[in-house]
Amino acid sequence: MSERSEPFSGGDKFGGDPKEFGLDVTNILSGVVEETRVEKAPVPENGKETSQKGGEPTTLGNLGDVLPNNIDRVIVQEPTPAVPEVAVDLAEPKPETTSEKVVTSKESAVERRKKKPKVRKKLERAVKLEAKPRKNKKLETATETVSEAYTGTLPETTPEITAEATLSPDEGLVTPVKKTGESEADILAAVGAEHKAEGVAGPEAGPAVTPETALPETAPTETKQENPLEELQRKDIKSITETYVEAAKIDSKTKKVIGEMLAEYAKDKNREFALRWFSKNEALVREKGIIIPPKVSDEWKINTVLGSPEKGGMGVILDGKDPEYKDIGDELEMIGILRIDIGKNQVPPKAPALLLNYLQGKFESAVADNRKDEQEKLFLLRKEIAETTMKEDISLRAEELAADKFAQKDLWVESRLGAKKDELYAKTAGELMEAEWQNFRKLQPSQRRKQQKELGIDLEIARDSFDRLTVNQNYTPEQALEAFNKYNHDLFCGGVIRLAQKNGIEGTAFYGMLANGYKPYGKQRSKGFFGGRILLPMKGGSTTEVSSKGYDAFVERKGADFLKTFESQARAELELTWNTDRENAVVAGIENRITEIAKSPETTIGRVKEMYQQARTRILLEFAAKLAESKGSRTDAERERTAREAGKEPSKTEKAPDTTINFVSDTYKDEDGRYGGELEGLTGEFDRDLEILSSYLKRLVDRDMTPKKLKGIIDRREGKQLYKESWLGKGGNESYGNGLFEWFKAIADSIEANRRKEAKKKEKKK
Amino acid sequence: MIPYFLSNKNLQELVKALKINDAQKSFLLNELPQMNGKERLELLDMLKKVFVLDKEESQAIKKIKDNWLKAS
Repeated sequence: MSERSEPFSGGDKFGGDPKEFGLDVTNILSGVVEETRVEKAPVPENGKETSQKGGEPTTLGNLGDVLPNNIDRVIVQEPTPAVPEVAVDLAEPKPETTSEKVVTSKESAVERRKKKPKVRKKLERAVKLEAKPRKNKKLETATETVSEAYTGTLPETTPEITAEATLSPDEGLVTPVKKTGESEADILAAVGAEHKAEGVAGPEAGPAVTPETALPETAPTETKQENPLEELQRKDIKSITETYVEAAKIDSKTKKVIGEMLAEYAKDKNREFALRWFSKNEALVREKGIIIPPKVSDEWKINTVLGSPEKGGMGVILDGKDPEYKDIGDELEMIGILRIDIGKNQVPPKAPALLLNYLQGKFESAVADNRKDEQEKLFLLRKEIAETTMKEDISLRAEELAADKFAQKDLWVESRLGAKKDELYAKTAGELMEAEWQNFRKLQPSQRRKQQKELGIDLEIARDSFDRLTVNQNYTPEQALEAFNKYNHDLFCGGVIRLAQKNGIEGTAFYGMLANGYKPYGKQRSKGFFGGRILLPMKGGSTTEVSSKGYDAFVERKGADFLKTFESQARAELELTWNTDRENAVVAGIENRITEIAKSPETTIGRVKEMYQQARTRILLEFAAKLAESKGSRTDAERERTAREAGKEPSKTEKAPDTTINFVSDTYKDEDGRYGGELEGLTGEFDRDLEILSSYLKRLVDRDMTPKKLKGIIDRREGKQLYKESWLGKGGNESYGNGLFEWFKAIADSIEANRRKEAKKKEKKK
Repeated sequence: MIPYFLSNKNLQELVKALKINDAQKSFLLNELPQMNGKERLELLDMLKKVFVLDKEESQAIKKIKDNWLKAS
């Protein structure tokens, strides 16, 4: 077993040149970022080398000789207004760009091999050491085991790890991820202790192997085809953005619905533009010789405005910057950005939040215009997007909130049961009586007179008599008619009730018998020799016999049975009300939460921050696990050597190549926002800062640097303005590695590129 | 021999500059002096990943802020 292949055991293998270890520091802290930020950046034809011999002045990233183009993309980070999101999307490293680079790098690799075989060999060996720590048989076995485990469960896909995922036992990484009351340092230490105990030997010891380390096992041919260093970097970026930041995942079905909806909105906006343009430029249309029909439709206007001149249209194109149509231009631009983002396989983390924000506006206008179908569609879509944005179950959250208000269903129902029963009884009684009244009104006049006689009332009061009675009431004819009908209705009801009372039937028994088809106010007859039976009249003219002795009990039972029907009905209605109210409360809770997310950038930004923080923590935990594993294999001698070497000051020869590291530390601001070190005196005005900058570059990059020489370089590249912009933080960089850092790097690269060119020229002359 | 770019000073600067919380920084800074060369290289690789995430986060937040106004 070779020592070099041991994980983390190669401390004594490091010489004085950091590039020998496959990690060009500049690439780490700059090239990597450049690759993701600028997807369509020009690639040098002869792709420059990323490392140099130790004794040579530093190579500042792989920007190399392409600086005349790259300086703009490095310093000016503002995207073009037309398609800003596409050009600068960090979360989406384009495969096309990568492959382009790979091809270029293959060519350059051949050239480099010819020119500097030894350096190249060292570099590639170091990269392989980094990319494939596989010589260790134990680790190899563990890697294969984990790889098999993944391919076993997900045969056709690469194992996915979302940003939310913490290290779980299933992943074979960490068991006690978080315990109540533990600090993060404790957790990290615990992770370390656990892995120290586990070791790497058996298949159970999967912890040492993450899905990332398992990936090269599944795609060995790809590794062979690419420049190892660039392939490593590309893989790193892919693993960070796709493995750790995958929270914005939207399923393809939803994507399709969103895409169609956005396309429809874009169409609407274009139509709106055409109609608005037509109303303002009707005269212009006539001038063009187009005859406007007398009853012109919107469709005609739209076709005329947007149609091509060859087909008789005006061929008007929307200018989004025209103040007249800026609102439409802005919205169309937003729709375009959203369509592009949502169409990507890896949806950028910002996209769901922006989409939700946009759809919220559409939902509110659908509510205002009472477009029910669109409201329903947007409700469901917004809910899904809000859940994606916040990674929470909004329904569950709303249910939990509603649960407090709707805790005791039985108590709620019981407390309202009596009142509900009374309400239902009154309602039903009113309906029964109304039915009797309507039946009475339907009778022929002769039958009606006959029944009136039986009832002992005179309903056929003359209308004029009624009018005389109400002469002082100032009724309108409609009001007078209504009052007349009500008078007759009340008179009828009173008569009916009085007659029933004479039969010994009243209250609930009266309505119970009505409900059961009896006519309680009808004339009853006795039957039998001693009058032992009573004939009860039914609706429709028939009769029912009841024994005289059991008559009272019969009547009472009809009343009691009638009341009983209301108990179950009242309970069912109350339960339904309770359930409906609860569901409405849940829906309202969902709607409130969606609106809260959709209208608050702070909420979604907080979520995005949380997502990235989780990704960082995950990376740290993985490192802690690896470190714990490695700590066990340290020897005493190694510990002593590390303590001796790591703390000492660098020699002059070592210091020069590490430009980027120095830049990072020098551009790191203190709490008051001032630059430290040599850059302390910078003011942001180029002419005033020239001396400090040139002195700084002289020490780090070019021994012959003077203020005059630097000014010449800057003037050639319009760098003065860029310096100012970088100083002001254009591009939104807020902390270390900010615009000034980028500026420095670009200038340093420029100097380095010039130096190389001159060196080549000299070599050719020789 | 441990190269300068993996020295305590340089790695400490990097750790301090990244957007990780105090507990995480404290863990790394405590462990750093005892790390051997290979571990330091791995640390640097990890810091590089965190660095990229920091940059991405800043840009994602900026884009949300910029475009939110347009949508509202």
